[in-house]
Amino acid sequence: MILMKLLYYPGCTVKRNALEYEKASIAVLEKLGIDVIELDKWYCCGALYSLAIDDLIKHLGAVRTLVKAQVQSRNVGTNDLLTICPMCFNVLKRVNKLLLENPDNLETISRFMDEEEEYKVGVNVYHIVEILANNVDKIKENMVRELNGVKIAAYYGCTLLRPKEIAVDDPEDPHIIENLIEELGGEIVNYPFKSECCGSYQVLVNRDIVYNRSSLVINEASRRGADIIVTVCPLCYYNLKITLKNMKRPPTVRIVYISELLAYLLGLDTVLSSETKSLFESVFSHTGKSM
Amino acid sequence: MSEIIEKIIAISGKNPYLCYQCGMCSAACPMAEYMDLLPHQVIRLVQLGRKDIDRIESVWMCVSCMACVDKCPRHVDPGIIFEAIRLLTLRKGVDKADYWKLTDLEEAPSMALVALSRKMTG
Repeated sequence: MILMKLLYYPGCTVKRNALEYEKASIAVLEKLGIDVIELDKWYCCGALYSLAIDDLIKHLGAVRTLVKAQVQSRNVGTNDLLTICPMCFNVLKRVNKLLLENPDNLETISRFMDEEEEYKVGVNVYHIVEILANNVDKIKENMVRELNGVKIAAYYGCTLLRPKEIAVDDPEDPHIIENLIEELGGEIVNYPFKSECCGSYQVLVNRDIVYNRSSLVINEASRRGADIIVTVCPLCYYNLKITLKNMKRPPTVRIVYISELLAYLLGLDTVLSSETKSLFESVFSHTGKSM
Repeated sequence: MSEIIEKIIAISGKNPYLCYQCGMCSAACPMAEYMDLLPHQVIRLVQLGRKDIDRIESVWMCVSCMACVDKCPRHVDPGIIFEAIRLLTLRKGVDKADYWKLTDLEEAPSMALVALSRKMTG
């Protein structure tokens, strides 16, 4: 699969709390020759897929976004829709699957939407890790820095992997990020909590739950020697960061988005914040010396 | 079958009577340690037709991570039945989220607030 053009659905968080993730992600994809075209108009996906089978209205935001993607796909010439937030990915992909498997549900939902054209269920929803994994050769060609010696733990969280029907990889033994990093010459830290929940939105209700859940991930990755934990989700990123900050004796492991790591390897320093760049410089120089 | 069970089945599309209490859901659940009843115990109470099922607090700890749904060998899918139990309350117009008491609202990613609102308000 070689995708040269992608429609792009950002979602709320990417535009409010994860601008650095978006900036790095788009810069990396463009460096690889992939044209990223943001949807002219999009709606809230709802963040978590509605599980009630008798209440289709909660899927409406996602369906409207898929219709917008369908409309724009005709001008752009691709049906492939990129997401970088895994919750957006999860909701859009599950709604797409629901409509594909239940044409009667699509018909019911379509009756609410007399302004829009009918959805033909032809949009393919992707998460950026899938695109990156498929373009590993191009990443390799364009790398200006080596991963030599830096130990990396991948943290997937929940929504890229579950439910298994829409997963980007085997939910019991995910390795799509590890394979990518190994292909780029990196060293992987394997650990059992890479798809354990970080505590999710409970951060708004009870931070201690998040501290407990996320410290499990941080401590185990760190105990096995990780210099960096790469994440794909703004909420996981936030929860891991506040947990690290709250620890009495925090390990030296750093939390970064996968796109930030790749931007650094590709020499796209201008898209990284000065804080992130110095974080990488310190990790990379440290491991350089110890080798 | 009690009315409450009928409602749960209608909302979730799942059959709680298929559960043979293996406990896989409770083992897989990342929130189990914060629950008043473990997921498999909740399903047992549903099977027994308890009328006060909507008073179980466990369902508000669940973040719909789908760990139990992926692992349930009987396709009872406790996480989906949990949503139906939440909706028994939410559909009465009772919200479980108290927005005045939430912390981290400014700093936390907005997806957290949207996700919480999805699961804890009607």
